[in-house]
Amino acid sequence: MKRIIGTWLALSVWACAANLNFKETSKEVTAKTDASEVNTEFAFTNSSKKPVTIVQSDPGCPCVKVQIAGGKLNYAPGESGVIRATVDVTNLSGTVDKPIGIWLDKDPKEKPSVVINLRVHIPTLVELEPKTLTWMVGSKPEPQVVTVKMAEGQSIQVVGATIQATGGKTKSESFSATVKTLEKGRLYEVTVTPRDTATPGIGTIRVETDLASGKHKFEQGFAVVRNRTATEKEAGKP
Amino acid sequence: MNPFGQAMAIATISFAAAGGTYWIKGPPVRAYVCDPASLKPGEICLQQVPTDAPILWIDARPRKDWEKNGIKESILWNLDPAEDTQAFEAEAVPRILETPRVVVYCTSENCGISHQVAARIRELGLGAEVWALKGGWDALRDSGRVRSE
Repeated sequence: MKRIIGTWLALSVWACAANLNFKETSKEVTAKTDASEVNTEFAFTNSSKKPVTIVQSDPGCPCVKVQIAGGKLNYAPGESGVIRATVDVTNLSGTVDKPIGIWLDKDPKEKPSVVINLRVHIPTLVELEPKTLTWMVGSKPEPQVVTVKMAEGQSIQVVGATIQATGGKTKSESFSATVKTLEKGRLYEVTVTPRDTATPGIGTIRVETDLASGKHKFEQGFAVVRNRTATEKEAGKP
Repeated sequence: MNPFGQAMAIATISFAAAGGTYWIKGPPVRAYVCDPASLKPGEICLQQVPTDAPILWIDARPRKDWEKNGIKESILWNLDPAEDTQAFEAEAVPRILETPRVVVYCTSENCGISHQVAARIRELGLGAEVWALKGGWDALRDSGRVRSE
């Protein structure tokens, strides 16, 4: 009996021993202005006494590609390797966390042995503030302003701004827009005025820059005439 | 009793106990279970989604998944580099103004894209209530709201 219990204990220790030790399981990187992707590496070592096989990785986002350096999936005790993560930041902004699950052999499907996290800071090249101008139905149709600000160190000019009707009920002339230069290449104002606020309507504000192409050629904001939501009414918001 | 006999006795007792538990309690519950106490800010469990008002469901998964088995009448808004974010915004804004209660879901509990899309919707400042669905599409499937095929 003692021999059996002892054997079972030894086997259980053996079964739990497989592991990859990462030098860092969390990294923070800042993308270059207008970069399309960010690359980083996570180094690891098989610190256990048995071979380890990486069977799967899941970055949880089509925007992240994961590669094992050299395509090597099997690691003997003491062997080291590198996981490379490439994040396509084309449609990302601000600060995003990208957790990447790494499954080893014998890991259950729902629980990877390791989750490494990549935090990416993506600077905004052209920023519209606010993103949406709002008039409540029945309020005064007074002009409101969107500030267009370029990232530090960038010189990008605004060449024009238009408002396109969005949705079937909004007429194209429901809003007007004018552009004012506060600091050439750095800071602009787009003033938007609704024709009236008697009925709900939506306009898409399109600010054109002098960039040749890319996602910042046109920046997008919205002008909205709407009713208060039920939550806003309950909160007594004006 | 010799060691082999002892091992067989232990194994028999263990299997009997396991079988009895299975017979009494039934198979293990494999469906996704959301604990409201574990929610992060901006998250919601499926059972908490309001039923007294329309909900705008936003699918943050890849387009092919949304087309295959997204919630009926949901719209797509993901962070795939191949997609046009401005087009997603332009489509979503009138829908959000019509239905200012929005739930964003992605594939599973481990997917963070729904949170990022929800954050973008809040930044639009449309006065909507916006949540990311904890458990994602897995939770919807396990509740019967969507089918795998």
